[in-house]
Amino acid sequence: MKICVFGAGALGSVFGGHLALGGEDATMIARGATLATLKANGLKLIAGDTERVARPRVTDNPRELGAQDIVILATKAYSLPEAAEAIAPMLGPDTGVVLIQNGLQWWYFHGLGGALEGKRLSSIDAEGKCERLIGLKRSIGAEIYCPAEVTAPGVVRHGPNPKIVMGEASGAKTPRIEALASAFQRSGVIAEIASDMRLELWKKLLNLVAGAPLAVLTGATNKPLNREEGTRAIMARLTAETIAVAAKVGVKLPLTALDRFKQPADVPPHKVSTLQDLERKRPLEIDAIVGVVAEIGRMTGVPTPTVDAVYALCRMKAVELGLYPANPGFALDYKIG
Amino acid sequence: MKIAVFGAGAVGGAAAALLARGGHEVSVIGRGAHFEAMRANGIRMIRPDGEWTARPTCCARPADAGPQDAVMVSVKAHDLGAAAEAIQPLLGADTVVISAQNGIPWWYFHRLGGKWDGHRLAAVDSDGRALTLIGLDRAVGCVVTGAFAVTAPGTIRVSALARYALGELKPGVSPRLAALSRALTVPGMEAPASAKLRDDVWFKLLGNVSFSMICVITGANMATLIADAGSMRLARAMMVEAHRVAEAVGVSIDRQAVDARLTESQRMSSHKPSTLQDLERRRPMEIDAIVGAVCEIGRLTNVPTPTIDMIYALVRMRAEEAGCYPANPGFALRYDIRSELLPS
Repeated sequence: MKICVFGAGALGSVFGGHLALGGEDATMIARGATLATLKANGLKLIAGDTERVARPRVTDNPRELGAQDIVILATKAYSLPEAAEAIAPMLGPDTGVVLIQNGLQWWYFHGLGGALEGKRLSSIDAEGKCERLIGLKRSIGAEIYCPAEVTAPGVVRHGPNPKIVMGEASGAKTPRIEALASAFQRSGVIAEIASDMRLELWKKLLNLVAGAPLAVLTGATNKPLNREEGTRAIMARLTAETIAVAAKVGVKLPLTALDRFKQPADVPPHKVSTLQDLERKRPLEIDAIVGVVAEIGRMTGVPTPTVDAVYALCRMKAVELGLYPANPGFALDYKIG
Repeated sequence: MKIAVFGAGAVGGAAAALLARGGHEVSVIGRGAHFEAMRANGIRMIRPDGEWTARPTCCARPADAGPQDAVMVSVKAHDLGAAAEAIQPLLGADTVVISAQNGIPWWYFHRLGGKWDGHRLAAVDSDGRALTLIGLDRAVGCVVTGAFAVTAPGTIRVSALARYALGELKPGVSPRLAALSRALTVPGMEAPASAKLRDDVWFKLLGNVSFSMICVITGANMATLIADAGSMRLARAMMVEAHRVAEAVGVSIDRQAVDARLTESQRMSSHKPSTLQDLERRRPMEIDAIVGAVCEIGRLTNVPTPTIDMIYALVRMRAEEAGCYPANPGFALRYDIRSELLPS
């Protein structure tokens, strides 16, 4: 199958590289220095002591490629609407678009039924571009479990056993998702097809919603944040509010806020990607990770005072540093309660 | 009067210059580049009404100044214990010690009477050095209002208002306090005697604990904060909690007035609160006295402070990561999150 990876950041490179090494018909879309390096030297993947060089086909022009079977949209959440426009030449009626962004995804309330059917999440797709240009039928939700980092243009260091959990937004088990899972497996990526993709999105979000904003606000890694009672208390409250919001939209998370206190103190230090972004002066993904919980809280009448507070602080800090990706269609109403 | 100013940064240096110009016999005790510049060239003051230089005596060692009528201790709250030790050579039988720190003062519950009389606050005097080395008889509280900045070593910029409100630990105006107030009131410096200085403490603190700490976490100035709905909501939630704590210890101030005054005066202000300036310059931050002490009194009085607790944890972690948290091993807040989160 024809697979295009749009975006040559850390995760896009892990997938594009593995698929190319596995002999799949994979193309990467890259820009600037990365494009030049990939063309000249290929893509270097470093995992532990192992170095491999992949040579995926690479271009900066989606029009050269025509319709694809699969487009993996490997951009940050705030770049999605723009990316949705850019990938248009590669979309046929049956193309699957794999969305790997952190946080909830634009299609969350589409095809779900119930009172919120068709509601747009303005924290993620304020202008409805994803809805209009990608659409529900093409969308495949995905969560990635693999730490990865670009160490130089064309060079990516990643963790062992990269894993992707995917599910059609429609909930169906389609031939295209099964074919994609097989392609990943052949290429050394663990691929699972989720029976309930929305639950998977919430599970990952629950990890991020507590750690990411606190890392941004304090500059600390997970280690001190999990060690100090005060920050643990905030994380427990963020977790509790997120669990309550998820429950209100029918998702029962297999975790309680008190589990935050059971985390072992000797977890290895890790810088959440949002903190890495902050340190590298790249825009912060706070609307899709934090703002979205407050947005659904307001839709469903679930109070989220702690989420509101850390969102306001993160947003103002990001604005102050010039790292808030403008999202003019999204603003939380603070007059409630 | 014979007055020593111990710790002559912006607030202390300004007082030293104003008091010296007002005819007092002033000694300044300090260290570092700012102090050396004051010793070499005097204190250059920039005020709205003009610029001038005062030349108080500058001593590196307190023993050189000897016993005083009054000692103003204008160090940061976390340096108070060390300062209390260092000022001993300045103390005679009747010397008063004026404590001019931000936040909740170390003497807060001493001679207050009532339920918590004599309670020592771990956030501001965890090892009891202020209590034992300054002592209750010598202590006079001081709440400073105004805008003060060291603009270059030896040079201090001061707003038109430079107010050093003074108060006895025991509410009321004693003859000693009235005399001190008269003496310290000199051109350019107000030193009113406050019968209830704890009201002044909270009036100032309500803004510092809320607005300032949000600026510290986000790096924003006051005008940016005031224009941001989410942050203003947070600031007001903190102000409400701090106000409830103040009420629980018998202080009655008009919270709306504090809010209105701050919001109005700072709407166009690019002012960055001093704690944020400290963070940006990688200096120790006064967060236990300004924030932690409010949480501590909340726990003492059973007033919940969930929002202030959260901001304290964030500011403290930020300070620790930046190397700006002055170790305070005797102080730790307890969090009762388990009972809060357990389904009832």
